[in-house]
Amino acid sequence: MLAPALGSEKSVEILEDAAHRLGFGHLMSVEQAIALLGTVAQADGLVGIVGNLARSRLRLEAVRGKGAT
Amino acid sequence: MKTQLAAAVVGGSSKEAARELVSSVRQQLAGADPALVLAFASTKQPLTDVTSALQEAFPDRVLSASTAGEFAGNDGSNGQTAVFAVAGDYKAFVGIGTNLAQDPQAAVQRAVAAVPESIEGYPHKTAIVFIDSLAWSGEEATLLVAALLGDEVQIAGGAAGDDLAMQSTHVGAGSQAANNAIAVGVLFSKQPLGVGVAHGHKPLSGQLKVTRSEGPRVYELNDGNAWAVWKDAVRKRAKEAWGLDVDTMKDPTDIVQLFARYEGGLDRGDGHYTVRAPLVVNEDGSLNFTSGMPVGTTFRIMETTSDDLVRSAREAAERSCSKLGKRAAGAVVFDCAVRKIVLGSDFGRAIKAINGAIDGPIAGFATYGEIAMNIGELSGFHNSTTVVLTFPE
Repeated sequence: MLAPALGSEKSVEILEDAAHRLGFGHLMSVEQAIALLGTVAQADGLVGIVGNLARSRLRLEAVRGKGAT
Repeated sequence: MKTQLAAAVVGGSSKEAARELVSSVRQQLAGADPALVLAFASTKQPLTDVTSALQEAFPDRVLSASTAGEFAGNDGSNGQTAVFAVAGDYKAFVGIGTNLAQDPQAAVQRAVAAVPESIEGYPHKTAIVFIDSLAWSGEEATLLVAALLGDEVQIAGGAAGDDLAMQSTHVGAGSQAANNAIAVGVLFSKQPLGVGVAHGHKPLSGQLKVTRSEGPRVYELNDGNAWAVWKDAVRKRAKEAWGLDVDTMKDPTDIVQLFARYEGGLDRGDGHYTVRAPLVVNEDGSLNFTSGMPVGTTFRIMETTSDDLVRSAREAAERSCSKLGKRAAGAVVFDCAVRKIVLGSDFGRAIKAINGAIDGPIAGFATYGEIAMNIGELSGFHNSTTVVLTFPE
């Protein structure tokens, strides 16, 4: 999700760091993924802005997904 | 209602140019009232003068930017003003936010304050964004616009220019034009518009890592001085391919010539690259990019040829047209100023390539960064690309 704005390597680093801080593994629920992006969104500058937008999009997708079922 | 478009470019004083452009738009639209008028003015026609004249003729529907070159149809050079006007089944809202560098969030909020969330009967939403990227970072500004306008918006636009002086760029909405600002026009339409983007660059260097940076200013790459590392990476190729000697470059104009040909490419991990260009070398050897470059960002230096740039211009037009689902009536083009430098007299060839894909009025300007963000994407700011925004018949 973040790679077009930050490059793939930096994106992986950011997400792994956030997952480590939250104690999440590689497999996570949608709620955990939203929390993960919430952590990314707290960063300064471009990382925080793209994290915030990614979290909003994921939340919306989650709501739509629930609506569909 | 069928889309009606008008495009024109003229020189002369601001007042003469504006008068002639108004007359040309009215004639081409044959009495139809434009929903939105885009104006692209060189530094020869100060944007404040141009916008106030256009505002009288087309109140509260003019969105504008200063440029590093402008064109309409196949006709374009520097020192002129171009316009593109659209009439038909469209509702448009324009706004501007100033103090972008000091409070970006507030500036973007002001620029979109008048935009409703939706309009019944007009399900498609397209934002056209112009920013002063010398004041603040392009990617960040674009993402803030996307966040505020909601999930279903696509965005096109560009960073204003100043004929490569790299001193001060201006954007405008309605009667107001300013630097350190962002201007946003939102078009609601009955049919979808198309946004296409392509760059035509290929990787040249190995991977470089940002090891010290602050926002868009990169101090160190691979733990070395950023400018020194950049020169090392391109020294041989720049000499062989273009006769450019990186060790004697001091003048900003020469340095822009180098960055025009060798830019940064973020590996997106899907075989594609997002191009990130430095525009300025500071005295300490740090490089000013037009988007944030956080520590840990990795990229490769990219290279291109005139043929690749011309091919990519056509590709951007075709990608944009493919999203319409019907024939294009015309297009606005946001083309990177550095492409114009590399292409030189071949720039006309790139414009013809776009005209070859789109049979209708075309106008655009040479930018300091291009904006193209399709619905659902999470990045929208590019460098060294052609962005084409097409309108359906």
